[in-house]
Amino acid sequence: MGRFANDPDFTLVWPPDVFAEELQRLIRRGRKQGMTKEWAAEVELLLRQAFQSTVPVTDFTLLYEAPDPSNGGYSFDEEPF
Amino acid sequence: MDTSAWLTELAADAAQLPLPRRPLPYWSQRRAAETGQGVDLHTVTRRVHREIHRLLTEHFFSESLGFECVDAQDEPVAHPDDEIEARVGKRHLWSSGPTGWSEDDLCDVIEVFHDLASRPTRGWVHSYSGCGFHPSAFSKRSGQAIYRWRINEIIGSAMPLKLSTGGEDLGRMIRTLPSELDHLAAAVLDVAVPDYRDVAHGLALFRARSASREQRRSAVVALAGVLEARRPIVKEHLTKDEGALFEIANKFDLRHRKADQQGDYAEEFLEWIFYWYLATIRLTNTLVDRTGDGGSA
Repeated sequence: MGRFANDPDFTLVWPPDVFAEELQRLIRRGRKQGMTKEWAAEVELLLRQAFQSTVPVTDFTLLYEAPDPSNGGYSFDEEPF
Repeated sequence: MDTSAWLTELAADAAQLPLPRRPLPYWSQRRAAETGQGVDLHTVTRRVHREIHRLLTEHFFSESLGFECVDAQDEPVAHPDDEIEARVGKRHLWSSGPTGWSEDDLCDVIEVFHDLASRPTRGWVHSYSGCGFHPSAFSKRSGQAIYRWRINEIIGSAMPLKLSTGGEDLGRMIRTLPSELDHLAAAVLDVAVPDYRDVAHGLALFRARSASREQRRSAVVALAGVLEARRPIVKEHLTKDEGALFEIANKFDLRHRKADQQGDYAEEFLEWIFYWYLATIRLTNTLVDRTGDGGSA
């Protein structure tokens, strides 16, 4: 069972197959052309349209904007100097 | 977890994500169900109108109709009334609705808006004077798929009609088939075979909303034609006595219209033959796929 399965915060208002197809299309484009701000805006738009709640788009935005530890930034669990 | 992995997992879980749950029926709804009364046409009409209005505000029709902007007040925006009148000749149907819509009006509205639907995939927020979101790119395919899904959810079992989700009659209101036959039709349409168009045409003829007996007969004839072309497959893989399959079509008034053919059969008989032929086509699709045969005689 996936982590999002049956999570009421992830209630879809789209047909599941259309959602999976559109999201996978964006994922492939992000991998190929880079996860730019424009790309992230399209993902956010899709998540806002597809879900009943705003939790999915909020979770995505937090993840996207989180500092990348591999670049020397700090992660959520660390206190900055 | 990185962004790509999170999104990939979300896409993988799509089939397990919850869908909106309808509340348990309320008192008057339970009473209506007990006395055999279902949801009436006017209720369905109001719900459809409300859903289309919601999609209008979400810019699902902006590619076709345009949208208003405070900085472009001189640029005309098409009104749904204009599109409906241009396409079906009915004036002021959207602005006068939904009270007073007949079933025909409802079906026209549903079909026209299906053709106009496209999902905004990209855009920007025009903050001047609170103007709002301006879409700049659209996807017709996903927009129409979402529209069909939403409308069919609303119609449910209230009407013996639904929006077709595949085939030649995509986006048109069709008669609802019993669910197992609906699955059969979908399974047949899901396979790309050389004579796909003939099969899709037969299906569209049969389940058209206002299909006459003659049209449904033509649908059976169309499927009989497909099977005739696949006769070698039937003979090789199913039965050497493949002629039995066509005996009924020949004996009854379904192909040659000869004087000795019987023509006064019941509607149910016509349906039975249609679904028998459709099921046989599905079976031969499997055989064609397995053998790599083109499927034609």
